[in-house]
Amino acid sequence: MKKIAFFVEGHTEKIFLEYFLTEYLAPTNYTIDTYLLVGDNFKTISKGIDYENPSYYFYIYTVGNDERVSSAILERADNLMIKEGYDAIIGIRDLFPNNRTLLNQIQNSFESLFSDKEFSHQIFLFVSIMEVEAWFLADYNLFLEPPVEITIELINETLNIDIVSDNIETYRNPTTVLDRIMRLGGGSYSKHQTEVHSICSRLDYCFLCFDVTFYSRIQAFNNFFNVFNTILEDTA
Amino acid sequence: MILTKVDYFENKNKPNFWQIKNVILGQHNIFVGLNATGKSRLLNVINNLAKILTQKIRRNGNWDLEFLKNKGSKVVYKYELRINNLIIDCEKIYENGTLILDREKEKGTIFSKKTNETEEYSPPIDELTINIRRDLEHYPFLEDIINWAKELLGYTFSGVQTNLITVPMKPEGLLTDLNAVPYLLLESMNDENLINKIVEDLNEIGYSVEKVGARKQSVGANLGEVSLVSIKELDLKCTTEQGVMSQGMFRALSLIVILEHIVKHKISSTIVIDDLGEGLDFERSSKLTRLLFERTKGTNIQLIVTSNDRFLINAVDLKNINFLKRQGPNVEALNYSNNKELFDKFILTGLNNFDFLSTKLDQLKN
Repeated sequence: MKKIAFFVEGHTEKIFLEYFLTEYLAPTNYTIDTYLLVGDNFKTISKGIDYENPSYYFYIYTVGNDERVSSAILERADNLMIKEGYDAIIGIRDLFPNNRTLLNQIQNSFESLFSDKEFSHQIFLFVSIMEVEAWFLADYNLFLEPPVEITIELINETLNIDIVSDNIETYRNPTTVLDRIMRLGGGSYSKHQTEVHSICSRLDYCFLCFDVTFYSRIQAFNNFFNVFNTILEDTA
Repeated sequence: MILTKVDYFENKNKPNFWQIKNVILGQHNIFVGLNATGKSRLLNVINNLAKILTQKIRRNGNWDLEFLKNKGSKVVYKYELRINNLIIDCEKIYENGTLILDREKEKGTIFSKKTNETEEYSPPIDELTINIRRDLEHYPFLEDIINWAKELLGYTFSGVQTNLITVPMKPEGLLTDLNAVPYLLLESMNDENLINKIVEDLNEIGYSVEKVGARKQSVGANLGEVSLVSIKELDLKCTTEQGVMSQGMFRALSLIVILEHIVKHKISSTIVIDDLGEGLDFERSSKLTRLLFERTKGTNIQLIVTSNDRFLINAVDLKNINFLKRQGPNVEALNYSNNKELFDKFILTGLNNFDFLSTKLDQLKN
């Protein structure tokens, strides 16, 4: 049994992770507990299935509000890694509103916070470029089926973007792009939980994880996916 | 006019020497530091200067200050003041680098904007030039500084108590004390827009309030009447009177009443608040701070506050924060202006603002 903690910025990443883990790991025995930071403490939001001996325990901590993923990890890393025996801590945050040229510095600064820890190699930060919605956009099939049901040509012509071959990480504001696409089909996207659920429940995770054509289009997700697999292999 | 820089020391060469350096201010400012770092003392340095300039108190001290006349202009005043044994040792004013007032004890020179000439004068040794030489045409710079002092409002958020009422003796007393707010609210009851705005603000920071009010109430045969506030919360059938109101709610209401009054009447003011957020829960303290910043954005109001509330500190832009560090009697302010590289590196760590106080800073410097 292995324990992996995720620290995420908001409900968008949390919902995405829940669907991703469910789709990717089924039918393995695993359990997912989710928590929300309220004041100084994490409040339990949901408890996963109570298997007798699950292969993996996943804990998703949603930081939210004005709190930051880095601080939440830094404050709890010693306790989780040393006392609680976690195998890895994974932080996920958006690069937005920072400039993309700062990506390496953000990664390096985060790593420097744990450089003096024995478990520094078990702590990871993945920065979605520019927002986690870029990962949703990568699965363009999402827009071709109900309830959106629009064509790639319509997206290209109306929004002047090539959703199939563009490097999605070059989009300055993927949330806005997603909203504009959804509006073409009569919907909208404003990070509301029901909208995130609607999208994440329809994403093709197999396509997202394994179709090599995506790798250059969502490098941040690719990095996350590769490291996540390594963690699972190392700790299985 | 806004205060943009503060350096101060007192009791030089004495055991009780104390100084604070490198304080840089903008329109919105939060001072953060561990307990006993000098946050409240810094506010006293600013408050006391305003009281000295307006002849309310006499104190010793050594101030080096800079002011920006207003946001549109590029007029910068530098004001140096040295008072020891209640004697004015030195007073200097520079306007954009040019010395326009130069006084030592009983001798001085002052530049007249009207005649374009520098005149000699002999001030009494214990009086400030700013108080004895006022003339709108000759010395408008003195007016700018004295007006700044007159318009400074200093409050202690944690000092507001539901059972503590200050009865204002003069009309200006309505604004100078948070404990006099019931009287200010009573005077404002006919201003529907203002009252609605106060209700709106209270809702914005998380209080479900329908109405606010104030009324005179007898507090005993010999004590006469005092003004007291009440609120009507949406989820309660009865009104909540001041006496049973939570301290946090009463503090927030008091500050909001003052804020909306100042904003509505376009009063140019420096608002100094010690212990902002004290007594409020984490969510409301952050929201109150955001509200203060938002409502004063684009106005001529400067906010200078202290806080140790981590949620409040995390809710604001790091560039609005001065972190105070003390070593013995020396207090130094670290801010974006004087430590840009360090702040930029810190921002990249993605840590909360509050974590700036942690020891990891030393690692970042290297």
